[in-house]
Amino acid sequence: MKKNKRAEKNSGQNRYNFAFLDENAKREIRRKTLKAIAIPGYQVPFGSREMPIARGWGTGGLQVTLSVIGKKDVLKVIDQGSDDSVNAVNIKRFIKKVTDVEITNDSLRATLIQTRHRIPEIPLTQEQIIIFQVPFPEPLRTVEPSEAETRRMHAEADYSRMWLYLYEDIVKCGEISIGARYPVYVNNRYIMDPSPIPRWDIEKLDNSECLNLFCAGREKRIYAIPPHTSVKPLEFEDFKFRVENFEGKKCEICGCESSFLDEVMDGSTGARRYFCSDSDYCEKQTARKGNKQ
Amino acid sequence: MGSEARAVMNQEIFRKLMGAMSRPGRLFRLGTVCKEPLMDILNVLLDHEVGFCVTGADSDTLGRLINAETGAKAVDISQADYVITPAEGIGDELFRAKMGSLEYPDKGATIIYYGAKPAENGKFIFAGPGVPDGGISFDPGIPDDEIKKLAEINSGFPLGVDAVIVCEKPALICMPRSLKITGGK
Repeated sequence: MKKNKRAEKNSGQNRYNFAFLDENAKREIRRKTLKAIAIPGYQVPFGSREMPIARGWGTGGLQVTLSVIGKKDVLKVIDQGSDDSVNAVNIKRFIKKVTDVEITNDSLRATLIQTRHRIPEIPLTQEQIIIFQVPFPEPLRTVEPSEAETRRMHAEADYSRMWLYLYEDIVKCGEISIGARYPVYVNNRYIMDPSPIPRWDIEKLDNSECLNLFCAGREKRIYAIPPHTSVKPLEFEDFKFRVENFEGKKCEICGCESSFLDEVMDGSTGARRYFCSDSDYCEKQTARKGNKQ
Repeated sequence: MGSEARAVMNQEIFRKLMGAMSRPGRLFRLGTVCKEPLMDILNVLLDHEVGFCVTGADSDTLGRLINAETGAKAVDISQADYVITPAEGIGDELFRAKMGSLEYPDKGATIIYYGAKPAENGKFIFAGPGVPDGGISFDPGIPDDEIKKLAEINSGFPLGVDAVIVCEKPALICMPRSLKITGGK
């Protein structure tokens, strides 16, 4: 009995403050998150804390998650759509240890979804919050290396160099060559980096029901897209934005033809194989098919 | 209240605040979460890193209490990150509040109104981020003049101030600067 009590006392959640971060750290992140929501698409600087994982491995998303999460939350963490990859599993284990919240793979049951580079296929609801891990928050970095200058460009909504970059890309390649991290206009004011989600996911941000929070731990920036906010990919009148094309391809597991597919090369035969990127969606599709049969 | 209980309460109130800021015009009831809505909300947001300014009749007493509870510094309204005022509003003083700069619009102040009595239908139409297409109408429980002043200050978006309205019930409504306000004639 004594041993059990000692074990309980030494368990993760009792050794640290609830949700790991101290209350002052949470307070700052919360203040900045509210400002980010009030100014959609604007990057709010914040004092990123040291976390027990290396910067660049989701410390931004993790800090926002820990500042937002409560005991009643149900958490889902995905990495490139998968619930079971290393980054997702480690982050889930850590958050479970310091909060003891319920963890799920079910996109519909989750109240908080922390994600690395995908948005679940199932439309999210107003009860849900999605938190994006962001490696590079500055969409203008491609055209301007100076932080002071990009800040001025955002301040004056001077995005001509970004438009020129896209135009030159079309001239050189016959296509806008940006795949993931496709820049978007938020609320008709700020150009924003939507994190390296595929083009496929961009339209899910537009006028979404859920709150979208973005955080870059290494670059120390928080930004947000509130629900019912206009989010438009950058495009020209005569050169429209288009998403990845999976025509004629389907998932080898569930047979789905309407989800975002991962392409896997078979090492021995060189054949290309396709699987749903969203593992929860794929499992549900497979189960539904099994039930029908 | 123990530190863990305080941490849990702060988190619950913050989620209501975040919900209200991302869905302007919707009333978020605090229910049994907090007993003193204003002080509990200030405890979520304020600490030694920010400055606040209290206006209204009991400003000295309330200011001392806030300083003792949160550690935040009392400063002039032109320097304050948080301006705390009764629901009657602060009138033209609002124009002295920080609006941020184009490089750092997040430096704009948050105005916290307390003791408001909101109603469902109001004279103004609110639209913008967080509001479904077509806009909504509600009475946030602060004077029409104050709403017009907020609309004027926030007309230069992204510069402006954000409003948190703490209601008597207890509940809260937020009016971020991105909100477009029309009507009220």
